[in-house]
Amino acid sequence: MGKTALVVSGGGAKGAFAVGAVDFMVNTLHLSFDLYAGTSTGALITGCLAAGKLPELVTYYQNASTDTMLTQRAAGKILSSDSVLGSGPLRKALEGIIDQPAADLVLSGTTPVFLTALNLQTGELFYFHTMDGAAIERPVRGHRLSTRQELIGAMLASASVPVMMPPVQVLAKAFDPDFPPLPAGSPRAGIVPDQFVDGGVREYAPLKVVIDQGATDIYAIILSPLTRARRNETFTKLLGILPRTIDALTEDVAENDVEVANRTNLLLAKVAKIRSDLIAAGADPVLVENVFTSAGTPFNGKALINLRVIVPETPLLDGDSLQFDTFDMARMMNAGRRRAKAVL
Amino acid sequence: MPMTWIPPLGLLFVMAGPAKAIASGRDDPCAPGKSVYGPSFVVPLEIAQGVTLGRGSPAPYAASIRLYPSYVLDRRRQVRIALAGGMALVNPQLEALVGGRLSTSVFELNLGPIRGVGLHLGLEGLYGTSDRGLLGLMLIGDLGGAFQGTIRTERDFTNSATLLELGLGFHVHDGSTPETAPVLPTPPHDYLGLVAQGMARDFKAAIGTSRRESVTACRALLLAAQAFVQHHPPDITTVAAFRHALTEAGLEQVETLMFDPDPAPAGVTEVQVVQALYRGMADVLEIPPRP
Repeated sequence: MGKTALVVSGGGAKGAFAVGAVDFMVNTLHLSFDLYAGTSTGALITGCLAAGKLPELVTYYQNASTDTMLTQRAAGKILSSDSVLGSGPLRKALEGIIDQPAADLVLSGTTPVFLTALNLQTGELFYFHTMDGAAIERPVRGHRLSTRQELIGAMLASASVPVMMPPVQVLAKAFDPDFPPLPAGSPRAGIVPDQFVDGGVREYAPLKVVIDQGATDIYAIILSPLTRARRNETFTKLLGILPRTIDALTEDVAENDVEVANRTNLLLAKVAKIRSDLIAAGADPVLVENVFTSAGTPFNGKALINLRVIVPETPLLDGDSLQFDTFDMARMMNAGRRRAKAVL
Repeated sequence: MPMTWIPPLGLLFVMAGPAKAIASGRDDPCAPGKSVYGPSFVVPLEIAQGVTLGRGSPAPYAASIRLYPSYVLDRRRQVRIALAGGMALVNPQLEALVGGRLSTSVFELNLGPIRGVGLHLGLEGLYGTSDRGLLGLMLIGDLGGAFQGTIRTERDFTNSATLLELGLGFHVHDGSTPETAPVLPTPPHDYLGLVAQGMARDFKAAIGTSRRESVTACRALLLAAQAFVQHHPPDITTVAAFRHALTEAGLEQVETLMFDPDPAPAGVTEVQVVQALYRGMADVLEIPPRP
């Protein structure tokens, strides 16, 4: 039987939309999930959900202000620092929410969670996860989390928007000191531990990883509209063009992630059609079955995916998604509930 | 105690009151966008020069170097209370200065999360070791939380003179905001607590939505909501009646965004649910609901 997965994309403060939607799905529709995956703010949300901390999550997001998340560095120190902002309050909040029993629940892998990050040292997409025997194929890499500190570090790393927030060393040692392989005879000393940042750079909504784990019912909450809206303004300032460019790149990554699920579905449907056509045309059903389930068949054991996407119809925020305002957060939570109610 | 100490010392006492009042004031939910970033402790160093008006000879040249270890009482409004210390040249002699300063932001423009420019209004009381009592008013321009320019007028009570100075300075210390997270509210686990929390969310959502239209619309909504919560009539005993009362009170926006509470568990009456809805709104307005 297929698994039901919840996937939450990145989006900073816009995560309030996802929290509102999840609150409605769990507390009003009484949905439950076998698997979670999240990027950035989605990693914070799915990590807390796997820890059974939905009430704390709702309260945190509903009362969030910038001070409960981030700190500002002195202007003179920014250039010599690893980020514009500090993430101390967010780490402290996570430490408050993910206490040891909650961490033990997540780490037990009862409801596995996948948190997307980018490895700064190798540039690879990386999944921190809590699933024994998870199917993660190269070029993506994964690490099974084993301690509370690693779990909190992974949630924080996934949320750490590069440049704006500091990279996080989740693991005490380098994940794979042999990668990439060094030329023979090169010294291997001094391999530093890997630093991780927001996985949204490479994967905005981690749909593929839950499909790879056998999810067939997927609820995906994506925090930017997937339909393009014309911005009827002339961009004349650097500070206007830059965020618009980042928006466009983010939209592109999000569309690609959803497209992966849609194309997988199309191919699965096609494979099913070919099988039934072959049998209808008189081919030996056992032979057909053997051909389609032989080792190496990419869709072996996969079923059609029922993908439900909860996405805002219009952009949730006009400005900086690292500014957390309690009234905007409540507005987006309300919008998330409303959208989940309409879609589901 | 020399009489000249009285104005600066008196000012220091007087400063504490308004500083506390400004810092504890409620934020205006209808005027968003002010950053709450910013350090909690800064130390600007300033070098200034100017003229002393009301003095004949010797030449009325004045200069000073001042250090202001400043504790930021309220980071949103940048209310700062500072010790002031330094040296001043009151031609032809040098003297040490000691006192205090209170300042607050009157304008702030941030570039997203990066501090941009700010304008602060400051009031300062100082004692000079040549037995001068000084009371000053100044405008401080802040650039990126790193540099500052000051224009200051100061009254010298001892010599019945007025000082005009222009200063330039920089922050010798500009600490990051504290790395301690504020205490997070405890989530409600009982049904009525969740109802109140849900209503608070939807009411805040209405405020957040209305202020996107205009500040005026947002303030009108807040006023109507305040009246609505304070005049809770006893005949509103059902959720439907509560919704109707919202519309009657001109709070259609709140009514539209409001989600009906999940079905009540056994033992909880609808009257209690309605009271929880009122409580949710009162919590946002920070006023006690009517019993």
